Amino acid sequence: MYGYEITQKVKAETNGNLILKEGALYPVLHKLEAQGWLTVEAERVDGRLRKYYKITEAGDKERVNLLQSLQEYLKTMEQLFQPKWSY
Amino acid sequence: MAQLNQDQIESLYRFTRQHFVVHYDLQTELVDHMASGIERLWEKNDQLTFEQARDREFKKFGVFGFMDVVEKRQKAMNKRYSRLVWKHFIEYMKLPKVAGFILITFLTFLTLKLTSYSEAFFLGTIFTVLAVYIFCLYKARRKVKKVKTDDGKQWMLQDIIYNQGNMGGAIALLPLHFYNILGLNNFHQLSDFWFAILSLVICGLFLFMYIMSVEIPKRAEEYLKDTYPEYKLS
Repeated sequence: MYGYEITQKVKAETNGNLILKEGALYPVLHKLEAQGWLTVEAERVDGRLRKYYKITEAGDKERVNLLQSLQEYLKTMEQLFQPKWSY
Repeated sequence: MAQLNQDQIESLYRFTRQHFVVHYDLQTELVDHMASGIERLWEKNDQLTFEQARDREFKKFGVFGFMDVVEKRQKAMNKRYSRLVWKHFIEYMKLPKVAGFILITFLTFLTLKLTSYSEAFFLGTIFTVLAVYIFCLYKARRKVKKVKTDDGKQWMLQDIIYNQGNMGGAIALLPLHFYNILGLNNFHQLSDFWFAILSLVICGLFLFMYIMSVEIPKRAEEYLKDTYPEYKLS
């Protein structure tokens, strides 16, 4: 996926609840690329160069680890606050 | 669907340069992003002029414009460069290259030991290495100048490779500080153990200098192609 496509995808998938700002997106993409978790391919589209980002094998492993950590964190928060989801 | 023409794309490149994005790799990414955004705006409202649509897209980057993106990109690229230097260094710590490193360290040890009474020899060695280094740097500089003037494009990693290489000069001067700290009077009183440590540190530092000033700049083209898939397409 390319940068602009990512911002639009996030917007569409979250029904506009989450807006990924351009100023935040590219620094994150470049950081993940430098860490070797993303790889880049370039193509000429509509007379201009476009960069496509793809997740690497190492990046995918990291994604699974991070999701697990997030899940554990949310579980802990739930235990701590015991929110009443319904009345 | 309305699309940007080549003149408008070129004008977006100029726009990024006016907003302090000097490197072509980042310009390309921002131009495509802005162009996609402008085309999307035109889909919704075809009455917008190119300039109006461009300014609306630019506003989305916030009050600092492209500055934050540039800054973070620089940080990420420096990290990538450090990894590259480290990768080269590790190569020298493995067989067969490590044999050469051990031999040179041993020769340095002998030289230090034998010449510990000769201030002129110690300083002369360091200045000779520095002179060779400055010559290599001069050659590298001329090359990068030529690359820049040929197509007018500046690549961030290329800049880092040639500019960080200059930092090697500071590394080359470090042995002089050992000399300052120890002083000539104490220098010949050192034990073999400390001579060995000193030789190892000096050779390690000069190896870093060699990697940063000679080895990586020599393979700059290869690293640019690896880092930038658009390098070949541009």
